[in-house]
Amino acid sequence: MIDDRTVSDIYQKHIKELLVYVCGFVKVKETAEDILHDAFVRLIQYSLKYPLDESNIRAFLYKTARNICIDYMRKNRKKHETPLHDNIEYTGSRSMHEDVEYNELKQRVAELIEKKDPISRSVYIMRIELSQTYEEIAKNLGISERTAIRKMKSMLEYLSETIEKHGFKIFFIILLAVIIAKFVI
Amino acid sequence: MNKHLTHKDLAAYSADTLRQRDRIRIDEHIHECGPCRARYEKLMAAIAPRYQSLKASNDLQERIMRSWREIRNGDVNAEPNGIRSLLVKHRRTAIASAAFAVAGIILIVTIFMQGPLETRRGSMVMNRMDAGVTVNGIPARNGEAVYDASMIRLPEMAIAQLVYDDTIKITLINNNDFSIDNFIIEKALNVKLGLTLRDGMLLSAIHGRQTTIKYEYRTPNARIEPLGTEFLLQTEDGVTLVIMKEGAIKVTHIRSGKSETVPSGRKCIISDSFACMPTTKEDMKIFDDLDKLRNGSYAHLLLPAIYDLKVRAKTGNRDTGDIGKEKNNKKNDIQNEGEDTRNDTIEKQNSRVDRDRERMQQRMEQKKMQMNEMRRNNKTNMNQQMRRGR
Repeated sequence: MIDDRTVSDIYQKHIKELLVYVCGFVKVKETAEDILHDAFVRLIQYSLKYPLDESNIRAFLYKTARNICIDYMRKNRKKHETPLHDNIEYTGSRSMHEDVEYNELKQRVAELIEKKDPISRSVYIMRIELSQTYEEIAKNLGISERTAIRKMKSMLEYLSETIEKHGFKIFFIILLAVIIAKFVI
Repeated sequence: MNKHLTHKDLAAYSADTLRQRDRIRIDEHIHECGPCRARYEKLMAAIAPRYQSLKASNDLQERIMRSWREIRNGDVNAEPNGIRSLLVKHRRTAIASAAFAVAGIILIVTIFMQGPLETRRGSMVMNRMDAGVTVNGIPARNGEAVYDASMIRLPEMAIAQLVYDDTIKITLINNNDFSIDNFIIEKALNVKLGLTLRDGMLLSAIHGRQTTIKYEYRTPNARIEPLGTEFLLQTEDGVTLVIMKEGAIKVTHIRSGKSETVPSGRKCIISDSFACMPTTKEDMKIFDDLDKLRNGSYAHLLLPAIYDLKVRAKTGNRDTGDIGKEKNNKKNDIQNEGEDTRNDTIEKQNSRVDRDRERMQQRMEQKKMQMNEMRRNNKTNMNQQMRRGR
């Protein structure tokens, strides 16, 4: 079984990144913490039966947290909880319409990140949300600094391309609607 | 710089990985060019940190360590506190859940006795599973939900069943390397499933009520789209074998892009080439054995049957699947079937090609004979001329 010092080390190493990741799903910090607690308990229970491979711990925690999130969201589909982003003050200069658009954009980015490979996802979260340097990211993930930079660039390129395509689609639909409306009237 | 910035430029600039000279260049361009500035601002808005100030509560680590101590002291099956605390938060739901749990237990017992298994949408359930089966390298449990992007591996002589909504049942057999690639729920009932079988054998069955589920199997050399059906799929050493029992499937040969609808009572062998032929009695016996598995028997009780099945599938493969012997089998099929379906046209074409080859060989031999005669005649003429000259 995994010893307490290892559990503590794993916690210190991964908790921030995992918290950001889970908050992307459930939006409520307390719920995210409960889910992460469960993920750690499952890791400890797993270590009772099988030896833990250090290289797989991150993947295990990510996968388990994601599965618990999905289960939780299914069970609580109808419940209304105050989302975390409502508590954050970012609305200063934006109108209500812009806020809605911003939230949609953020949601879309979260979906896009989910589609990428685990390393790219971790690099993105560590760089953007945790403000770590590429050197720190490389050290934490056990990859070279060059790889971390490459992953980040490819992630941003992918986001830039997809957001632009999505924007164009919306623009095209609006344009089409306006033309049809004019034609009908 | 007159041209607009590429996505690569924007990404490198946003990632802050450019040299000073390039950074200044892009800086100036963004300052001057309106569309590029808008693109850059949108990207920056999209990647703006949202949870930067987020910190885990001080008691989270303590809670985890408490759970660690509980587990170490022997409370191995302790329910994670997180879920428990959620239940306390929603007490009404907790009471209702308890009532449902009792009903659920009764239901599960009934289900277990009868066989059918209800699953939640968005996942498949591992059922009737032998030891050694892993999902993403982690040992799987009976009744575990399996989501998309899951790799399922089976050891030798093991069986696992994947169930979706009590409608699709996939029985994985022996040494299997299988994955659920996509699991997309489009609307209320529209579900798309992408499945890949890299190695091993499976029995795919869809039965019961009508569904709007679309699913597709991929093997190294074929794409198979079931059209409401039951069939056996095996792939080994680059050869894919499909034996149909009921309904129909649409098979696409990846290399050539050919696709064909295969009805019941026929089988397909897909390797470098793509051939379909009628099933034999031996082929259909496989389904009798597999029915036993599907109806709730466990693998360890059926090991001899599984072994037999494996051998049969291989011999079935050898009968028809060996690429060198395919042509002979195709000829036999034509003789036996007479005027059967459009697949025969392919076989007839192949036999025509063979006939053409024979004719060509005959012609070549005739030409050789003619050439030899010509040479002989020339020699005799030369000799005669020489004699006359003397």
